[in-house]
Amino acid sequence: MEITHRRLNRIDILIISGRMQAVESSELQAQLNRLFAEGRYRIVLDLAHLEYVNSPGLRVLIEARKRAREWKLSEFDRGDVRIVNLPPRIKEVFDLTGFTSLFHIYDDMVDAVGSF
Amino acid sequence: MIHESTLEVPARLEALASISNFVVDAARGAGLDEHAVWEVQLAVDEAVTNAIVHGYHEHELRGTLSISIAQEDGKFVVSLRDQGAPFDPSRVPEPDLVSPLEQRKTGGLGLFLMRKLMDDITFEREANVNVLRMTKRLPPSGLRYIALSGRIDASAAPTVQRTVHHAMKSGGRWIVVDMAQVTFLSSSGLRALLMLNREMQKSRGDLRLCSLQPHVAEVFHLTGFDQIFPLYSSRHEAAASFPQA
Repeated sequence: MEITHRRLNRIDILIISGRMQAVESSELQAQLNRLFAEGRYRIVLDLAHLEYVNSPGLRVLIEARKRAREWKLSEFDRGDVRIVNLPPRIKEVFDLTGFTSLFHIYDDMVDAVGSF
Repeated sequence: MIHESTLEVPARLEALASISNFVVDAARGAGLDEHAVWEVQLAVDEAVTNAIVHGYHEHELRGTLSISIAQEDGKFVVSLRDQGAPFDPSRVPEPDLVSPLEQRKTGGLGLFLMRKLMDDITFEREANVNVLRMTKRLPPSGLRYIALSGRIDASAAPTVQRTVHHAMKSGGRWIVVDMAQVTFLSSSGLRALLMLNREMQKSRGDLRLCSLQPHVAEVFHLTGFDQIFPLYSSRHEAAASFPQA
């Protein structure tokens, strides 16, 4: 697995590629925690090249979103972890585990970034 | 039993990638399609992760795991043996698939996925060893996939016929026709498929259709041909509908 980080003004994009099993999930968690520690809570995860994920990875995603949502400047300006480009296999895991409805998922990076 | 192979690794999360590779190679070699291979990989990954985290790490235990692969009675069988703490599946909570984000619990997802993705799983404790057996039915031999595309009308019918005949000659007995790229189906196209279906059944095989675009599926519903041709939403589902090997 590889994580590429792109920093925009208000938003951080993490581009995750390859296979995410338990060990790699911890790496993602560490990277997200670093962003939170810097006060960066508006995050877009680009999963276009994520080939594989299982429940440890899903747990990291859900905990990250919970944490990001707790940060808010106002009722209308809160942190979030949003997802763009969900490949079919990953979507299948999301569907099986009831994750699809837990995230804002976009097909286009511009939409995902613009949603904040 | 045709053959069995075993991989033994230290009970550490770093071993997951090599376990995956081992299982994926074996599953492909056994003739599972790519979707089924992925399902097996995911189920095994969940099982091994659980065994390492809950069986070893949480109890500060160290040890090894063994993963055995066998083919028996038309099934692909993965057996996982660990010497971690005794595991009782009845104590794992049902997964929470519906609560809103703030209240969502994430326990039990691994076991849930294993049950969803495999055809059967059993847990046993033999002496000091947890034995988990997961099975996946193998596709019948003679399974073939054919993908059609574009307009299936009178002029395309002979091509469809040739393609299916070719698959039959090469030993194909159970044929899945993937219609995902088919944009139009005329009555001639429909008739060609029906004739081929009869022909397959006469030679004690069968032909199934999958992944139809909605307006193509509509042709089947309107004409009542969906009574003759059950329609499947994916290759995988269509393949699973054949009598198993």
